[in-house]
Amino acid sequence: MELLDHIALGLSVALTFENLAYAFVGCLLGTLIGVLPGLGPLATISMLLPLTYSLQPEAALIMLAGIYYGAQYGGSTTAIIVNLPGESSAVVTALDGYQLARQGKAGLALATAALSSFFAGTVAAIFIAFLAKPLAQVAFQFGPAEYFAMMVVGLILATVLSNARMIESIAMVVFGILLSCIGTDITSGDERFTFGATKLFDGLDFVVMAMAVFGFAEIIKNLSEEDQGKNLGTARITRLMPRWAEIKAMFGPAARGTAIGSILGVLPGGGAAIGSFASYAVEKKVAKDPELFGRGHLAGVAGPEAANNAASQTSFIPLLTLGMPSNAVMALMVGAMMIHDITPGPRVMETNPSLFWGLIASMWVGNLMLVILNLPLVGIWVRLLSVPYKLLYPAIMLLCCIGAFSLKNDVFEIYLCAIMCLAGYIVVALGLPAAPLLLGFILGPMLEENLRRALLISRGDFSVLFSSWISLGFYAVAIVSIIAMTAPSIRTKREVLEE
Amino acid sequence: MKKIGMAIALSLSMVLPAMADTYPSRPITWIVPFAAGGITDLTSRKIAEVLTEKLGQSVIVENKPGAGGFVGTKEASLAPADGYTVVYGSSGPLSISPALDPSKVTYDPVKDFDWVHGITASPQIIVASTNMPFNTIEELVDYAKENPGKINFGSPGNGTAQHLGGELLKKAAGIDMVHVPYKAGATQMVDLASGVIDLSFEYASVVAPYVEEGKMKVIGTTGTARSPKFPDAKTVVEAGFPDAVNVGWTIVGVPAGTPAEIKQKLNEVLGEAMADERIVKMLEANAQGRLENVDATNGNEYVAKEIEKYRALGVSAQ
Repeated sequence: MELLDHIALGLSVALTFENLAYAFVGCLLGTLIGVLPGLGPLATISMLLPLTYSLQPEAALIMLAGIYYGAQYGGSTTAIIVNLPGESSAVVTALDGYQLARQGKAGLALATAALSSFFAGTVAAIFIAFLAKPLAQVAFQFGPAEYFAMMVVGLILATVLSNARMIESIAMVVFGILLSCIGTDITSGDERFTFGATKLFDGLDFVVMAMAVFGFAEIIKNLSEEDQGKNLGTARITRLMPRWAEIKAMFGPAARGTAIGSILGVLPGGGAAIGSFASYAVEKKVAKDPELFGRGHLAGVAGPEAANNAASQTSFIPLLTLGMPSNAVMALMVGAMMIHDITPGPRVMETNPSLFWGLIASMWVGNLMLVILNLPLVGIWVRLLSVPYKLLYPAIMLLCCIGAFSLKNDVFEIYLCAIMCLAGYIVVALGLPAAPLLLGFILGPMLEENLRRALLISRGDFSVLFSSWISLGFYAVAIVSIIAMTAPSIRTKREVLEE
Repeated sequence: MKKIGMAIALSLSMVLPAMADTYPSRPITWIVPFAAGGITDLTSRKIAEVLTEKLGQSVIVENKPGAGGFVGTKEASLAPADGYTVVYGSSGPLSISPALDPSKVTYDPVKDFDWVHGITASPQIIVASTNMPFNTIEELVDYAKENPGKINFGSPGNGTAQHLGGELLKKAAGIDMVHVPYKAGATQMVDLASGVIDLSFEYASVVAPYVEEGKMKVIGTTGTARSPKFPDAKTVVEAGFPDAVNVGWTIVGVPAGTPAEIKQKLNEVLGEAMADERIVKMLEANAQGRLENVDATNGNEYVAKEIEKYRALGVSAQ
């Protein structure tokens, strides 16, 4: 069976010593930043991008992916023990998890969270493996016109997926596209917005952009707020292994959570947080004892935890099969792939099978590592909360400056980082969404490049853009998204008028 | 800190006059104007390793990527002319860009440098999509004449040696083809394999995996001699288009004004290094040729002649 061959290939990549080590580093870092409130996977991945230059593409993506789903585990640990969700997706976990902890069942809650996550991670990995095959068959029909149509959808979704006001996200997408225009135009070879500066000929570095806008700006914002959540009462961790009856009780919610998370993860704009909220709502509806939710119900931990982990993994599907980032973290993954000259898209499965299947296999391996990392070592993670940010953040920023320098062995990149950081801080401080900015920055050039290439090959005939069913399908999705995007705002406006 | 600075300045002033005799007395920086991990970087590191042995001083490779080689080449032109900074120059920033787009080039590839030894010279392999009806250069030219402007050829960017390979054949054979630039070589190869573009001029090491899998076919080479990797493919000379010869080359140089003894020394050890078994094997493995008969006596002349060749083409970077 072909699927088994693929899984074998994936495991052979994921289980090499080097890749295991990078998966471990990713999971470890992910857990770490998951535990620390304020620092999310977005900031961490953007800051670690320079490190991945020298790695094999497989190792790089395995590590970055590990950070992403590792953060889901870490986030729930602090949510349960100190009622401090390290990640937005763990907010729901805190509702019942912390109550369980207060009842002296912290160990049980932690085990439930970890086991449900592991279950979801396993199922999601298999889900991705099955879905890959049919999508791969479409891959060969992708030319520049189809890529262009896909980018149109991507840019529209970039505005839909941000929860800011539409006008703000459109403005940020456009701002991102404008920034991406700096540098040499691929098609004509002309310089744009470089003012003759040779160092700008290659454009702004994506890594610098990501690091400054998501990493530095976020840190500055966190520093300007007061340290919160220190000296909270820490629940004592008791018995870790759940009883058989408890495992049976968590199975249903975990299975439902996995299904909900898997589907929401694939959808653009979905992701871990939405998955866990949806799962919690569903569990509350199907439970026989809904009044117990919020007072320490096991299903309130098992369901959302399974959902957020499943979603964080299935959000790789649109990325790996279509090259379309469904959220900002996935946009960074696109960047990480492009650093290694891999054009994200349906052809990755064909051209880099070891990367594709290796990454999927490593997700499962990583989940196993996370269970081991999180359950016995839980005490260490909680103690990390006492490290003051005023020490932690400067250390991180110093490492980032080294990373920026190492991109081109040039201090110019650090200056650029400082300038973009200022711009990023203004964006964050004004409450504008940063994710659409980065998506515009990444997708804009791909949109332009493919449009112009399609027209170059068709000798300027615009009908080539609408000549295949794949393109038309994408445009249909784009139109539906625009309608969906505008409809609620029309509705709310009406409500305001009626009042 | 001040004391250390003084000490360095003092010791330098004592060392400088006697420099030529004792050269090299400290580590040498070898600037590669391209990113780490690429073919220029890997070749550089291997040669630097051999040079370190032969000179008894470390030769440290420093990557200064950016703007297609402009940033690193410019940086090297500003370094002191003492032989402790050498640059790994290549045809793109040294001859193609100065000929096609001189306004962008902020250094003079002939006057600002003394070129001391030729390193590699790699012709491109002409590869075509399997959908194309032609199998040789002659058939390609006939097909292009019957279908003017129908053929697309890809390249990893405007003003790259691969782009010029196509332009040179267009001019030499009097045919019309449309250039489709890409950002990187890999994407271009994938598009050629799936038939989005028809033709490409690329290096042997890049096309080999696709050709072996039957995803594209080799129809010729832009070299003067057949490629050892694809011996069945005729050269453009054999096909009757000697003006379409196109070779991507690399050369080692120092900032202009470096003492003659130092250049002579570098020329000597580079000659020895190029004959070293490790280098010979590496070039073979990468299917790279060598830039023969270019040394300290005629290096600048060679670069100037190459610039002229591309200038005569009369294309601007589109």
